[in-house]
Amino acid sequence: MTLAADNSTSRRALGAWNGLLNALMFFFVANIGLLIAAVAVNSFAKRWLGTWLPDGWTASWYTSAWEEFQLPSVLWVTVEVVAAVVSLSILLGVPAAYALARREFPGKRALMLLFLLPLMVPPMTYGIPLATAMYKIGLAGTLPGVVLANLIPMLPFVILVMTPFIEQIDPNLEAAARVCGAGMGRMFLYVLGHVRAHVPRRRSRLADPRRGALLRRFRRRCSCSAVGRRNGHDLYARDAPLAGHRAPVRQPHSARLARQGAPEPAMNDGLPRTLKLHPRDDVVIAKGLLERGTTVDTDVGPVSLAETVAPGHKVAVRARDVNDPVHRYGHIIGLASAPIRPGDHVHLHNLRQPERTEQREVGSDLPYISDARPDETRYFDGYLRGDGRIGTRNYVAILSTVNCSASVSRLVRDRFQDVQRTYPNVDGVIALTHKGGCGHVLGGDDHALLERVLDGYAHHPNIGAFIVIGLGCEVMQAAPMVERHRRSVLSHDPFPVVGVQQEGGVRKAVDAAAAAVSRLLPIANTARRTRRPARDLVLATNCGGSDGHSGITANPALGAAVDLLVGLGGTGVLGETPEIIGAEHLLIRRARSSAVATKLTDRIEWWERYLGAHGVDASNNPSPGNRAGGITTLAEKSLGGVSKGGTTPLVDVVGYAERIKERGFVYMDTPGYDPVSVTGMVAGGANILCFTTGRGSVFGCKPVPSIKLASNSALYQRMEEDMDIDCGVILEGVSTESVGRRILDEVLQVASGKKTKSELAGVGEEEFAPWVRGPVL
Amino acid sequence: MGVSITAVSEHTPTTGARKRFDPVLSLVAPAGLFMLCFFVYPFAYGFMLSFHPRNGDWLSSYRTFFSSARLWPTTLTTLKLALPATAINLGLALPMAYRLRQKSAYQRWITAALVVPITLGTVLIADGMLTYLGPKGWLSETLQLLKLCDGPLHLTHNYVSVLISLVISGFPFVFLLVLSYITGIDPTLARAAASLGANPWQQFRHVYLPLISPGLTIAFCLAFVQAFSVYPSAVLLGAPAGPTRVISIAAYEAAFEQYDDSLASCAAMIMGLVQLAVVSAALLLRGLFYRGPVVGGKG
Repeated sequence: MTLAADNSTSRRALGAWNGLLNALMFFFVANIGLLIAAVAVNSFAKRWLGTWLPDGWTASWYTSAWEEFQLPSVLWVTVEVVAAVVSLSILLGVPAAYALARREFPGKRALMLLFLLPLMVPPMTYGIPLATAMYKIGLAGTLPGVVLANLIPMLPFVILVMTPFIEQIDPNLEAAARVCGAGMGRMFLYVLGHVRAHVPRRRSRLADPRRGALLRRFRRRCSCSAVGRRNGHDLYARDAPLAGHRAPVRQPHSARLARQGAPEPAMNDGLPRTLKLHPRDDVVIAKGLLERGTTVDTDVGPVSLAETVAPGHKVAVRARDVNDPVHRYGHIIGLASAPIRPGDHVHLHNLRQPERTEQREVGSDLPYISDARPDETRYFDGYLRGDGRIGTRNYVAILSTVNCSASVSRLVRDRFQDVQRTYPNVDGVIALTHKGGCGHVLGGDDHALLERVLDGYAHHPNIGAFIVIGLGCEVMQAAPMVERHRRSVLSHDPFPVVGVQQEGGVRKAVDAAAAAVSRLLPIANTARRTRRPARDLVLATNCGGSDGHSGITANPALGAAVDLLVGLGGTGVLGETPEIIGAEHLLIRRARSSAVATKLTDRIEWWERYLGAHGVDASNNPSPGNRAGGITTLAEKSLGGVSKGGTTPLVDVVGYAERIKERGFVYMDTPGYDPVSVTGMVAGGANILCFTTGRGSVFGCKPVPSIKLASNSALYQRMEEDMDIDCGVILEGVSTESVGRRILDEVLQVASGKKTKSELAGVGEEEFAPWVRGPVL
Repeated sequence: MGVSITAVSEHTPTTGARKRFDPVLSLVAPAGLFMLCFFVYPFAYGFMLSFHPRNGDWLSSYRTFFSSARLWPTTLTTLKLALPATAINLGLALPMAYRLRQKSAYQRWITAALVVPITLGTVLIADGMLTYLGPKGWLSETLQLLKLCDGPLHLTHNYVSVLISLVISGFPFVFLLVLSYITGIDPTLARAAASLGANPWQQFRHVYLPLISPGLTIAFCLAFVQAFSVYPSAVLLGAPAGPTRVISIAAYEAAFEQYDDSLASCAAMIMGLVQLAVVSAALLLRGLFYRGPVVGGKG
């Protein structure tokens, strides 16, 4: 009786248990199915946001994936890698497995452990040192490198799978083959090869460089969705932990250069004591106090110093005769006033300021062409606009013509905080407000300047659509500007102008403007990123909150990046005229033509008059403090800032906020104050900014992403959440060029949508600051 | 006839010479050499590198790691993700594999269905989860429609989402492993136990469990390795700055964002060490259980 009762209870419990398991299994499988279905549906969706099914269906994602990512070549590379990994692992692994299965020998357990360990430690543990080693021998980022990296987990896997399997094969089969005269090779081929064909092919799963390709595709889709955007930074920043997981599809060369972290080899005991800022330089900079007798590497071999050299001071690495030019930053900083031997301290006693006539020979300091190979085109994903320019962001802007409409503009902006939820392709709605717009001379200098700035922002490729809000009676009238924008990218209707006085007050104006923005958002949201060559980038450079390191780390590194970008056909923009007054010959000697040089001297003369009128000394001569720090000449001092612009020919000089039309290294006449300077460059069409800082500026400049370069590692560590790249590593032995390449990589990624730290922090709207230089009436 | 004679006569000296050198052993050399060059060397190189910091004495990378609030807690974060994920995977896989130990159409069907997520790869799963489990995804909308929860579900970009993705990608793997162990056990042993009056629970507890414990240990180790090196899903699905800042992220940042090879190697070494510690603990624990052949019967 009890037994029967027991039995039935246990049977019921078993039934319930099995039911529960079935339900769980069904739940898991069903959810996986739905999850895959969601991806499949999404891949055919025109637009799918918060509804059960997408608004419409399209296969265009597939066609555009096919075109955009060069899928045939991606697939081919994948096939190549998989084929190489599988065949190599079989070629190496099967014989090893055979030996392990058939023989007992001393050290076999150790060998088994060797093959087991890679499966038991995280890939990171051997991956990071392996990547470091590969960068050193130049294997990283190449196809063999990828194959090698994938072989490491794959080979042990093959061995561990194959060993028990070969153990199962009857050794008599082999013995029979041997009796028939088969050598080891034939025996392998006919006996083991035949039997082995039945091994399940599960191992191919592990060789997945395709993750790289998939990841790319995924990233791309994500950049068009609200979710992806919120985490955009992380998506782009860290694609895969191992070098091997990155498919070297588009730019094998650049991928290899992408992350060069290894210190340069040229060091004697740990870190080098001096710093060479440019390969062409005749002098190196002492990084610390160099005692008398210290050996320094020069062009004629190691030389022992005849005198003690203070930190920041220069040591010659090349012999110079009297009146020979001396280069630092790749530029002439002065002429030798006494013969200089390698290893000499170079300062006031043997280096002099050139006479003014010696300085102004157009093009005499012949810039050399950047060594970026022209066939090495690099790409980013940008928004192609109607005028042919390329945006790196897609904002909707509310432009305020005058301070009187600034508050209204912000009230309108505040209504669109969550705009990405509904319009994932729009980066946001920004209000560009300022303090001017009235009280200028009608038709005067400031009026023209402001109109140029507003016009530049309205036309800016990073602005998908805009409205203008004015008061009504101001000097800076909106209508003419909008009229010029008629042939707009997105709409043949003129962009709306809202006047507070016409609408009848703040509330009505805000309502009208918000309605206008709501109409524009769906239009702006139709913009899509497409693959663009790097030459479509216009890179603005600026420095702010500089320190003693800026001139030797961040600025030259940025210069190296500008050289690379110009070598790729892109544009780099330098500004901040007050920094170069007195040393303008640095740029004049790089000028492509005398017309360009004249434009620059005209601007310098204007500045001298302008500053003179305000009783300011225009010259930027080195102060006693500068001299004690090792700065000898005016040129040398200015070069700290000018080195941001690299070393390529100066192709054009443009006025403040004037449209930048030439490609190459361009100078824009801007004041040194960061927001004003950058506002001019953005109005001129710059679509990305690199901002160097030593003290820690938190500059942002919507609608353009701002990449911040820290000049020293202490700053980077202190303000990591605001700094994008640490250039202080140059002081620790990383070469300026490799940091320059890293900056260019970051520029391309940010241009493709990766969020900068300032964008993540939400900084950038307040920095809109048009230059006001005339009288306020 | 002549052929076989020469073959035999050739064969004999080879056997005799085996004492000195066996050519078969040379077969293992290429693979062994490869592992030495590309696994042992980087490993040793990384180990050395971790004791050669950019500045400071030989231990300063480790000191940095253990004193920085952005670095050492990542170890705990990773363990907090990997251990529960492995436990869930094993805890689910064991009863299910046990339930499906007999070959049937149902077993084949489920096995096939579970292989799918393995082949998909982390990234597709992450994409799918973002769409399907997102606040506006089908799951969230369905639950709201059924009034099972109010307000959208928040299953993405947090700890839970990474855990779920580890279960999705890890569970099928563990299930197939455990299934292969369980089906390897002779079912007649359980039947013999049943004939002696063991109920299903006792059959499992006293027959199967001891026999599969070595297999379970291996499955646990492999699953833990997978979960511990979590990287893509922690970045794509998690909150990589906060609750899912796993040690891989810290190591990657040190290597490729700060160029600090020494610190990165140090993080990588610590990662390997923690993992080996857990794996050794598992193996040690297994030693407490029954050891013996997995097949019963005549052996």
